[in-house]
Amino acid sequence: MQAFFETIQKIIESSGFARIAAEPLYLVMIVVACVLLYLAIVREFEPLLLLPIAFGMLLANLPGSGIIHMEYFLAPAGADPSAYPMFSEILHKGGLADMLYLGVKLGIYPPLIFLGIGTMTDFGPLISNPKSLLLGAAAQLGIFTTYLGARWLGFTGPEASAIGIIGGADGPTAIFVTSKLAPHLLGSIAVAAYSYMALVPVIQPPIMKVLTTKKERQVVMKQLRTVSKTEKIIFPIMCTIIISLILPDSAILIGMLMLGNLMKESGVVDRINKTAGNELMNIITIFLGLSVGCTTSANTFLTQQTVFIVFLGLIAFCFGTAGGVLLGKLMCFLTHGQVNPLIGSAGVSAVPMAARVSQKVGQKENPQNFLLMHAMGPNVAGVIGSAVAAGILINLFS
Amino acid sequence: MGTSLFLVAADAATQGPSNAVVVVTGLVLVFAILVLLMLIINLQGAIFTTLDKRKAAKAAAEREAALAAAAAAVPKASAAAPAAAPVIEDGIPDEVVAAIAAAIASMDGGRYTLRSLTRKKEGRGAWSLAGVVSTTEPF
Repeated sequence: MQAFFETIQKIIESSGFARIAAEPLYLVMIVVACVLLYLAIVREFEPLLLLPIAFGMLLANLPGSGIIHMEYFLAPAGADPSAYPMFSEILHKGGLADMLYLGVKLGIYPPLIFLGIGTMTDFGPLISNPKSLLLGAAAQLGIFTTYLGARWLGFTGPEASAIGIIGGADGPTAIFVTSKLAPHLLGSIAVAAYSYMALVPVIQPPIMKVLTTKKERQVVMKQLRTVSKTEKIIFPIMCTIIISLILPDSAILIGMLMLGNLMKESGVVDRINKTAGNELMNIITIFLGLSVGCTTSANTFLTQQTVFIVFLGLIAFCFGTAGGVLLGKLMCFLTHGQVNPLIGSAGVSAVPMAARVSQKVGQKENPQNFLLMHAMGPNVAGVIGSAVAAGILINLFS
Repeated sequence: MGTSLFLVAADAATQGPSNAVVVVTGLVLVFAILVLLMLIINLQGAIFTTLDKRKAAKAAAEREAALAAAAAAVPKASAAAPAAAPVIEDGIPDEVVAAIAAAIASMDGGRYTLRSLTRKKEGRGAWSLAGVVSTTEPF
């Protein structure tokens, strides 16, 4: 009988409940994961990624689950960074989450997500109105102002770059840059990036209204010219060559985005086009979300740094939106009212949510105004702009 | 905390570039690359627009030549005086004029002649507007 009780006692002592009692921070992380699950399921905040991220967070913070071994990936202070990730250890002792996280660590998933995004992107509005690219560039202001803010708060250059890229409002780019420059902040940055992307309809409209006049918001833009199929085919090829030659660090992101788009526009590879935009992208989304969520542990997530990152992420979105709208205002002034400044806010990427916000805010002022296609130009330009900014930051700090 | 933003020439901890270098280089390069793309797309657009115009002009010339040949082949009506050409507002394609003229002719048996054609008003019509609203409403 005594042996029975001893066995039961051992089981209880080794159970997760006992460990939670010993380290209550696990409980806090479980609560945070449940809140994120609530936001994903009930509020539908970017559910496709937030749900697997939150569930990964839940799994990783169940004491004793040992679902991921971050010690194989992150070099401790003083260790030789070239020995990480420890491939031999991962392959021999690692589990599912370790294997999946390799895709993040080696920068495989974000470009594959970009491939899928490329198959769903129409660059027609951008080709039709190339000035949209300027708005896409101006909206990257958020990245660099946030970089300064992060430096001021004590983050290192690579960490500040990874935090700043939240302002690109582009999840895969944020994960790509963070995995290269500050992998220990991956969980916090991914959660902040995707949460704010979901909050674009809440964050942007007040800034857009404050920075524009009623008259500017009512500007009706001329209909876009029709873009030929040949132009749409040339664009991804030309873009890849030019950007990759100038910034080789952006080559993989831009290249995969443009490959996906070329597959769509060429119309000759319908089968693989559908696979890249549907099945492949869905599979990668699951892998990416789950493995990113698994990187969040109490000692790296429940820190002052995470609070700063969440705050800086908001600053990044606000400045990005303001940068786009302000350049839109300037273009409106220079073209004598031909450009509606509201389309500038769509330059922060977050495709197509940011363009929808421009459409909604514009239509509130003038029900007969349809800005959606005009805003899609800066919106896709923002994707290119944030990939370019990512390449610059990686080049400067790696 | 409190790192000076622009005075630091290089980050002491990482030996990376100074904050000013990162921000200025980043913004300038992002703008420069996207402006370059803009110029190339503009150039590409200009080339394609010129090609389209040439194609359209060639097609129009061929159509006129075909019409002239057809007119020469048809014997002239003996007594009827040639009707004055209708005044057409710029931007209305020939096909539309022909369709409207044909519709009038088929309805009244040739009693009326199309003298001028102008657009009623600018902007979308009620049906067109209703269509656009229903399409974009989900957004």
